[in-house]
Amino acid sequence: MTQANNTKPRSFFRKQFWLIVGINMLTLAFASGLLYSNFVSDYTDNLINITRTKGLLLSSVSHSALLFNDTRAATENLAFLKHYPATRYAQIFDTNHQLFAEYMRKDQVVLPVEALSFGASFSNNNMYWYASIDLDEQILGYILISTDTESLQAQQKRYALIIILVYIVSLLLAYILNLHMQKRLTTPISQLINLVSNVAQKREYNKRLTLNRNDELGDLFRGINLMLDTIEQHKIQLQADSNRLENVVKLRTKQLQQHSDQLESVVKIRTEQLYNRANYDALTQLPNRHLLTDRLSHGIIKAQRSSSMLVLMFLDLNRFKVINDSLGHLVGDQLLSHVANKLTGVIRGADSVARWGGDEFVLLLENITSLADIEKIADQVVKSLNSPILIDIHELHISASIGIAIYPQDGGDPMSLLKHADISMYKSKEKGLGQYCFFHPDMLVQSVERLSLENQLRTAVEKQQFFLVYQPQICAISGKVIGMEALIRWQNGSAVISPLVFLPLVEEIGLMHHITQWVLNEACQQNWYWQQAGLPKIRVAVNFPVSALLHKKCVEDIQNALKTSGLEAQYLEIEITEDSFISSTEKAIRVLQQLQNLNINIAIDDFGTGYSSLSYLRDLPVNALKIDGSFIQGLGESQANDGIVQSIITLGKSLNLLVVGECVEDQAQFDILAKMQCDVIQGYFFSRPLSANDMAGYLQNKG
Amino acid sequence: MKSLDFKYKKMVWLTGLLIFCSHLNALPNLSKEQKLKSAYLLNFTRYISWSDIAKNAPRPIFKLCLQSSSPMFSFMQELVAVSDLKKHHPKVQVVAIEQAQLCHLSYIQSALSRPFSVLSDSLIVADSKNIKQPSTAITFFTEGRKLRFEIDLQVLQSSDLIVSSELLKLARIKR
Repeated sequence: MTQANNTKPRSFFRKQFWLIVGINMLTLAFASGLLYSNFVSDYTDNLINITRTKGLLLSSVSHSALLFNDTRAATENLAFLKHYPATRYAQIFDTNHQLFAEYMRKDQVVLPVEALSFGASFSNNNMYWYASIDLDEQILGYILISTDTESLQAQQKRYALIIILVYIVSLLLAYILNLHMQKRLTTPISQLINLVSNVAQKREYNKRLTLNRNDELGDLFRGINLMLDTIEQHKIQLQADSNRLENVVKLRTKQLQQHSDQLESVVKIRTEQLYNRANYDALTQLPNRHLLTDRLSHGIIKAQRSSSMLVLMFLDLNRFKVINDSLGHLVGDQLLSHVANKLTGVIRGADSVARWGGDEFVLLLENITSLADIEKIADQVVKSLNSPILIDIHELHISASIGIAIYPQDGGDPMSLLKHADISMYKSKEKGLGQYCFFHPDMLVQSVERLSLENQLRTAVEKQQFFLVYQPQICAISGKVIGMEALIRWQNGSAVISPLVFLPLVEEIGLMHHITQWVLNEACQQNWYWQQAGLPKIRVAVNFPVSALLHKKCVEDIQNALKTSGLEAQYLEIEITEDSFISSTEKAIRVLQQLQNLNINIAIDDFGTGYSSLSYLRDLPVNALKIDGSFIQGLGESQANDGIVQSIITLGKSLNLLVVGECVEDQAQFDILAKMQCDVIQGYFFSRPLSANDMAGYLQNKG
Repeated sequence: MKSLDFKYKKMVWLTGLLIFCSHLNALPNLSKEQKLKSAYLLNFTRYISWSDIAKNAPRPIFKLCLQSSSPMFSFMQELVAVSDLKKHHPKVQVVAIEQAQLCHLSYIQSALSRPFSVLSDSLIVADSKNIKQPSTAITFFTEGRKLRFEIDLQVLQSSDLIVSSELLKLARIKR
């Protein structure tokens, strides 16, 4: 291929030229041969004619010699042949073929006459003409003339030379003429080819063929020029279009570049956003679970290398769900942001705080050298979160339960540490609000038990394994039953499980509202039955945890319970805790106000252990205060405790509230409370919580 | 092809003539010289033109007169008969002088005993110089062993005959 390309292309005109020259050569050779043959033939014929003429002449003049047998006369006649050097010899024979007369040049070989036929013949470069001598149709004898053919041969050579010369000259002339014609033909064609090549290779359309001819080539050139005119116009148009298009493309490219830059910027932002979304919590801007796990993995590796401790604190906010449900997600989100800021402010620069999800946070502490350092940080966290948070008009009180797991003793991998810290966190919750707890392997067993209990609890809800007991509330002055508190119990197989055990779990797994609703319906229904049975009409108190109180359908649910059971609202009392106000005072007050408007009694349970503000208490729509059992248990043991109880009772009186002392177990406690003018006594001193049947009997006897 | 046929016929005729001549030669009473003379006589008719022979006639008659006593007479008759094949020549008739009324050519071998009127317009050929015959135009003679003839131009010029130069070239001219 490369070779073929490098080979100069064979010219058609050159081939055509050599073809024409070749044809001319052949034609001229043929014509020359024909001419030569004709020349030779003519000369031969002429030679024969001359010889024949001589013979006829000699025959004519020899008639008389033959007729009169005059050999001398015949010989004289033949003698004139001496003027013709080419004549070798001549003989006249009589009718008997006997030699009659003869002319002979020297040294000539005579051919026997018998070997000859009439007419001309050639033999051994000699010509022979042999004929009869006739007179009046009578043969008088025979004549033979022999001439040499040297002249013929010489003439042949001369003819050959002439023909060759003519052939060469003709050939040369043909070559020159053909070359000239070829040049005349190829020159314009070459111009055309050069023009076409120029157009094809350089794309130059401005050149034209200038040859003026009136033949077919002229038409062709004019056509080519017209075509080039058209192409040039199209090229100019195309160039203009191309320029316009190029400008458009530049503009579009510029716009595209701008868009690309914008897009790149957007992509960069989006990438950062995606990275942040993937690794950071959108609300608090803290590392999320993914990034925390990553950091935890790296932290473990670093701790391995430095043989140092790595501490994982699993932190769960108490009461957050209540706040979130009652005040809305916006407040809940703001609260989480505040918590995040507080936690970030507490930890050291090398530590990390991450939002694990919901109200759970994880603190990753590195380069910890002692447990004292851990406890110091944990205390700071608890202390920081114990301080109230002001969001809008809400002063929110939250606390945190913290579980702590330490590498390497509590786990060698991120998942183990997280799991153990989580378990520890639940343990700390059992200890109370604002507590922290270090992981211990025993917790694993407890965790399993807790998980088992959780499953059993769900089954209990489905199978209605709960039941209510009622503890009477006795008027301290009259000793009459003026009320009762409905308390839930769980009949788990043969065992009855305390609400102190399962209610926190119910709260955690989100069944509190459901169970509270069941207790409410059951208590209302039971009280209505008892009233219908003719028993004394007294209030039944139902405990409403914060989550139930702040539930959006709290009031509606209570109304439905009353309507369904037929119990009058005045015989229902809702017991709430101080947490209800701590979490969201405004919302709680609004709900309580609605309930009070329905003529439902409101009592604050476990009063004295919370963080109720006295100023708020003044405006609370409540009817009773139930002194926390811990204060009742400590009556008579310290003046401070007794002072607190007295203060609570005094406060209740001043606010015109009914004061209830619960968990009263003995006479001394009753006496002190009575002395302090506590209105109502509840506790084992009068009656343990009774089943519905027992309570009915109790009411019948004591009511 | 036609020419070949003609030549073939001519060859056949020539062969026959030779056979005939051989036969003629076989005659014991006629010498070779006499035979040649007979032939010469006949050949003279080819080179001499007689004005009184109508050329336009279909076949004019040429009267060849010989002395009847001549031994050549018979030979001549036979020779003329052979040569009569040539149709375009006058028909030669050999007649005896004594009986002839017209002679174009007369051959005499001896002096005539009396004058013949037919000889006055005839070309007279004498057998030899020994024969003294007035108005003899052609006379045979022998030169060496070769038979020749002599022509008397004065005699010929006085007659109306036209003699071919060919014949004159061969003859010895008598002046």
